[in-house]
Amino acid sequence: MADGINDNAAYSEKLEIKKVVEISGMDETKTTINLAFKKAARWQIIVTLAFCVVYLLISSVNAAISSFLGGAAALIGGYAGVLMTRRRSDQSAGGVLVALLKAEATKVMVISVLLLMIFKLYNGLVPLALIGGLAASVLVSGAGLGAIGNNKK
Amino acid sequence: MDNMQFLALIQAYTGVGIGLIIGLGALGACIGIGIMCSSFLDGAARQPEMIPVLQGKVFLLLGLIDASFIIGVGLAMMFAFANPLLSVIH
Repeated sequence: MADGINDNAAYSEKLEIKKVVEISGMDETKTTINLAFKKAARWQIIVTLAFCVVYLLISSVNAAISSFLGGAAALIGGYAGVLMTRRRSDQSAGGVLVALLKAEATKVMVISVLLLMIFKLYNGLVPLALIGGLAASVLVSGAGLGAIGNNKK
Repeated sequence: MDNMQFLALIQAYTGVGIGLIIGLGALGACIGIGIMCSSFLDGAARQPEMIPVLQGKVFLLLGLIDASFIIGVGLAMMFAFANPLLSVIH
């Protein structure tokens, strides 16, 4: 029963990827990453906004803005990583791995620079709210992994 | 001890703490990424047609493995730029 459900999910995922490949003209690997990022980014935005509202209710506007900035830094870093994977690269396993590691390095660099800028430039910063928003947004990015094998878009 | 000595002590230990946070975080992330990448290469060598499917999952797992490191970097920056421990000497 469970195998049947998994087969069904994998088949519908392949159909979805095929459809996007036909429409966009991108290759299959990049389409898979784009779909995964899209699903992860949706959850990141939801959690960031939820944290923002919670900090607004229990603390101050500055805490809410700090939380939002933390979540936004993680989201922008993730997008920078996806942009790096879109560049033309070797389609062998080694080439794919090198492209992914470059993307990850870019992501970490972008997030670090953004955090540095926030700490330096934002005077009303609430550090714990920033770290809370950042942690929640980064951790929930794994939600895209669970969504890859599902029918949900 | 006067306040200057307390300040120097707190800053020194905070510096050591920041180094440990970033260093141990980077070590853990590197070990995790190494294990995952070797598994990816293993799977790709056995079933090359699965590379596109595996790539998306590898990308998301890279993000998850790096999550603790990125949170550590954020915490380290908090201790470097807005150290809450310094408030005890004011």
